[in-house]
This record gives sequence, C-alpha cells and structure tokens, in this order.
Amino acid sequence: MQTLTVIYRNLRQRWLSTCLTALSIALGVALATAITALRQQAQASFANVAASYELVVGAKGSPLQLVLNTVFHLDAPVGNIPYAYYRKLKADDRVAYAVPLALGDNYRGFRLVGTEPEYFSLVKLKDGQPVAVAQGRPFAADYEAVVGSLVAREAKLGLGQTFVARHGVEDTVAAEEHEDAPFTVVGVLRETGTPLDRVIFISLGSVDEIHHDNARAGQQSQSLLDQLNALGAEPETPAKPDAQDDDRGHRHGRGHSHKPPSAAPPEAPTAPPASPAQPAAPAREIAEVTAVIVKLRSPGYLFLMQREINKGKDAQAALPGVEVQKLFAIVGTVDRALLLVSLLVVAVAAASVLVAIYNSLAERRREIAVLRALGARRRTIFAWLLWEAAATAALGGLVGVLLGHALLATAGTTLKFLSGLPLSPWTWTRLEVGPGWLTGYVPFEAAVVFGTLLLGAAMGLAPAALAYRTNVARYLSE
Amino acid sequence: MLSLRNLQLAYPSPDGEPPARVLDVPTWAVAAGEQVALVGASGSGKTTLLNVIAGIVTPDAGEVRLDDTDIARLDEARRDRFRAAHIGYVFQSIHLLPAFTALENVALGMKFADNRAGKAHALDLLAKVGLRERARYFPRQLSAGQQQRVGIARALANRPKLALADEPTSALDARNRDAVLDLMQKLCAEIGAALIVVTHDEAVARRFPTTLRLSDINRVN
Ligand SMILES: Nc1ncnc2c1ncn2[C@@H]1O[C@H](COP(=O)(O)OP(=O)(O)O)[C@@H](O)[C@H]1O
Ligand SMILES: [Mg+2]
Repeated sequence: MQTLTVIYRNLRQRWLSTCLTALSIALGVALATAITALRQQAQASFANVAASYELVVGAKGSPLQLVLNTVFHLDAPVGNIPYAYYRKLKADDRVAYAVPLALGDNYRGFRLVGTEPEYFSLVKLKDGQPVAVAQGRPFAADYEAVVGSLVAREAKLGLGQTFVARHGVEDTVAAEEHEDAPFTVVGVLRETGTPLDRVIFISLGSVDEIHHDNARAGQQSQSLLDQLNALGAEPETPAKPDAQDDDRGHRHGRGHSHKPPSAAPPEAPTAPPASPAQPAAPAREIAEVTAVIVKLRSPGYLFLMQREINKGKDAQAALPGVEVQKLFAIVGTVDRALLLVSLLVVAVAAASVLVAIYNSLAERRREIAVLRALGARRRTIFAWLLWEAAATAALGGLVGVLLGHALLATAGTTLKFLSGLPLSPWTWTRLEVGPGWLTGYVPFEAAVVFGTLLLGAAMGLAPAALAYRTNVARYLSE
Repeated sequence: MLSLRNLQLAYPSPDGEPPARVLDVPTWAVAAGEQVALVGASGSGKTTLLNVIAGIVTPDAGEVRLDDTDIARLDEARRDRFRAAHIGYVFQSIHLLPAFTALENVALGMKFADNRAGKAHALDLLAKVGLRERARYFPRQLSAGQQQRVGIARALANRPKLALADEPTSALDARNRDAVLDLMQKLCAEIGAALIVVTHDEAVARRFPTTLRLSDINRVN
C-alpha cells in the first residue's frame, strides 16, 4: 500500500476539517496570486502598447496623464496645444511623422478621437503592422468615423451605421445627445488587442464641429491616484460597455484657448475653445489639438527633442515607456501592501493546519497505537502526520493558485483600466523574489504550491512530535 | 520457539509507593505451532504479558526469546520491524483503522513488514476469513464479527511465527465467538503459527487443547 494512499485516506476521514483548512489557505494564496499575476500582466500589456509610441507631445502638466490619455485613452486630457504647434512639429526635419489627436465626445462610453487618417498607416503597433482599417476605408470627410474592433462589436456599429455622439468623454445621464450631426461609420480597424479597439476615430474637423455652439461644464476629472484608490471598489461597476470609461468628463473650453503650464488637470479644457458668445466658425478652422504622436527619424534625436519641447512654454513631451514604468512603480506600492495582507491571511491559515492536526490527535492516539502494534515505526507515524499537514496546505496552495487565476479572468472583464488590454489569465506568473537560479526556472505558481507544502510540513512538526511519543500500550487498551 | 525466562515487570506507582509488580515469570515456553489459552482474572496482567511478548512493553528484566532473537534486547526500531514481520496481534476491542477499507487494513499489516505479496495476497486472506466480497467495505460498514475476522486476516498477513490474541471475542456474541476462535485456530494451523489467546472467559479456554492459568506461570498473585 502506497504512503500516498495512507495520507489520502487519513485526510478523507477528516474531510471537513481538511477542506476548511485548505480553503482558508487557498483564500490567501488566491489573493496573492491574483495580485501578482494582474500586476505583471497589466504591466506587460501597458509596456507593450507604450512601445508603439516613441514620443507624445501635449499641454504642460502631468506627463503620465498625457500618456494615459493619448496612448491608453484613459483619464482626462491635460489640456490642449495650439494647432500651429502641431504644424511646427510636423515640419521639423528630425520628425518622421507627427499625428495629431483631439479628444472629442463619446458614444456609449467609447471615446471619439479626432485625428488624421494617416494614423492608420503611420503608427506601427508591437506586431510591426500599422493600425490599419480592416473593413471599409479611412474617413475622408467630417462626420465620417472609423471605429475600433471592440466598438464595432459591442456598440453594434458596422459599416454604414450612423450614431450621434454625446458630450464628454464619458457617457453619463447628464450627457446630452447632440441634436444633429450624426456620424457615419465608414471603416472598422483591425483587432489590435490595444486600447485602440475601444476608440472611434473621426476627423479633426468633426471634433471642432461638435463644440461649436456648446459650452458646458463636465464633471471634475480624477487624478491617477484617485483611480488607483478606486480600484478596490471596481467590482461594483457594471461591466456594460456604456460604463467603460471613468466617471469624468471634460470641460468645454470657455473662452481661453489653453491653460497655463501649472494648471491642474481637472481644469483642463479639452476641446478647442468656443465661447458661447462667439458665433460659430464658418470654416473648419482648427485651433487646437489635444496631443501629437511623434516619431523621430533617428532615436538619437529623442532626448534632445524632448528636452527642447519641455524647455519651451507651450508644450511638454513625454516618453510613454518611461511613464508606464513610473505608473507601475506607484502600482507596485499598493500591490506590496495587498501582498502583505494576503501573506498574513496565509500565515493565519497555516496556524489552522496545526490546530486541525492537533485536534485530530485526540481521537487518533488509539489508531496510532494500533499502527505501532502492527509494526509501524515511530518515525513512520511522524512522517505520515507531517505529510498530512503538508498535503492539506499544498492542496490549499493549489486551489488558491487556480482560484487566483480565476479571479484574474474575472478581473480582466470587469476592471476598467484594463479594458482593451487583453489579459491571459491562464498563463504562468513570474516569480519575482528569490535567487536567480530559482526565479529563472520556477514560475510563481509552482513556488507557491511548494511553499505551502513546506509551510504545512512546518505546522505539522509539533503535532507529529506528539504522535511520535504516543504511549502504545496505554492507548491500545483504551 | 517462544521462551520467557526470569521475566520481571513492575509499573511505577504514584507518589513514592513501591512499584506495582505485575509480572514475575521464571520460565515459560510455547512450541512452534502450539495453541494455548491463558486464563486469568481481569487486571492479572494478561495484556501486559502479551505486550511484553510483542515487544510493545519492555520488561524490567529477563528474556523474551522468539527462536534466536531476544526481543527485550532489540532497540526500538528493530523491535518494531521484528514485530511487523514475525508477530500477529489480534486486539481485544478489534481496533480496525476506521479510515481504511477491510482490504487496506490487511494491506497496512503487510506494509510495515515490507511484505510485497500485494493485493492478491490480501484478497486471498479476506477470502479465507469469508470476507472476499466485503474487501472494499469500511469497518463501520461491517458487523463486530466481520470486523474481528478482518483483524485476524490482518494479524496473519505476514505469516507470523506467533499469533497473539487479547480477549479476541469479548466484543462478540457466543455464536460469533466460536466462529472466530475456530477460524483463528484453523488459519494458524495452516501457516504453522503458534497461537496464544489470553482470556478471562472459561468458555473460550475450553475450546483450546492446552489451557493454562496465568497464575501457573506468573508468581505475582
Ligand atoms: N500503563 C500502565 N501503567 C500502570 N499500571 C498499569 C498499566 N497498564 C496496566 N497496569 C496495571 O497492571 C495490571 C495488569 O493490567 P493488564 O495487563 O491490563 O491486565 P489484564 O489484561 O489481565 O486485565 C493492572 O493492575 C493494571 O492496572
Ligand atoms: Mg487486558
């Protein structure tokens, strides 16, 4: 008879206690697994997307916010820069391409972003391919729209469909439909697995049009840290597409075209200015853009160019890769706190392994005495109890790891900030602490299961020692 | 085959009183294949004597020799191994392990003796005690008589030289008692094991060719 069978039988005999103990360990492990895997995958996804953009230029303010807004289509825009600034960048010899972006309104929570059609051919994604219109064609006129693949799917906007935008980058009850100006879908982008899948691209001129005779205050925008703090409350948010964007709108310009460099993000005007008093501009005269995506002819120009722009008073230049790193440095501290909590949960649960085995001893002394009388050695009994404790804990570890990935699968579909970034919940997680020979070859999950095994064995030591000392003659006659 | 010489055992008494002497056996021998009933009153030291012979309790002095081995002088690990291989023990309150099936209870007896005869052998033994069909039952699913038959199969699984039974029928009714005793005698004869049954019950003793009083060999009392 295999020792494994013996362990299994003994655990099954006390299945309720075994399950409860394992479950309590599983909860802690699941938390730790989900947190670690989520951060790693989110970071990889963000870095992946950021790598497609060399430099983004926008209004002075938080560079992280500029990157989040321009590259990830999250957060409120920092502000606007003059259209002329974009022209100047485009004309610069060192610039390979410069693509303008102007943040418009939304349709059912999907952002409308004004740009030039060259976005679809010039910007190359991580796979080396351009963004590319998969169905139909790029927009050629105002009130034509090219939608991301997810928008086409979720908002049911196929070729030829029309829709009317709502004010603000977000779809709220307060947001009103524009009375006229329906957009027509003329193209659908390929599935990119990036936030672009959630964007509706329109011409710069259409963005301007939207704001001609509207000047309306939106809601206050949230800072990034507010968003991080809000992550904990995330599951309450319904996962319907309409609610995908964070609850922040933008303010329509009120007379002045751009804010001073030090202005706080919530005050940022995001649309070209249009004073209510002013008459509608007759032509498509574009005064401002929200940001410009810039690619340089040589990477050698990068830091020079960034310094140059940042020295000037009109704009700032941010490196998306660097900003994503900064973002995850912030995320990392939150993450470590949560990890500590989950470790505490596991520690408490581990103590329950000790208690469970210890309690079982009372009724098992006689069985142990019988085993000894059958010829079992002390150390065999000792080892069995150790294995029992270890197996209970490792079972918890295994279930916890699976549960953690299941949590991740759920998180991928409910967490707003991950929308448009594909998570692969059922892949290995990297082990981050430990010597190189370990982290290089052993995934987090394997290390955790092995760790719980050791922890369980350690918890089994004391009860196993008691079992080791069982007085055979005494318990045989009970 | 089994021979005891000058065996002494006293249990320590609480608070300074002299130790309570339980065993003082100058000499006793059991031949190979012999079947003996040892009768004694409750508390007379029957269980203690069997535990000493099985190497579960170490005597204060004396020899417990099984063929060439003095069990009393082996270290504990060797004694455990020796017991697993050469001594079968049938307990008073049956003592099947509740977490294991009938078959597994028998297999556990084999495991500690490194007996690799396998499942077929264990099934064979269960067949001999008439429980082939109950092999996968757990103890709680078996009657007391059936449980003690599994206990017998477990004790004899390693073909021991010596089988010890401590009041093996005290939990059984008369009919089951006779069946269990007959079975034990028959199986021990089959494998050539000596059998010592200790009991306070004259009805049990009467079924054995050789019957001894514990007081015949033990000078205490
Ligand atoms: N572990 C022990 N410690 C102290 N006294 C014991 C112990 N085991 C048995 N005794 C005493 O030794 C005597 C013999 O006990 P036991 O061998 O169980 O007798 P029997 O099996 O004949 O009823 C009894 O008086 C009992 O109280
Ligand atoms: Mg007794």
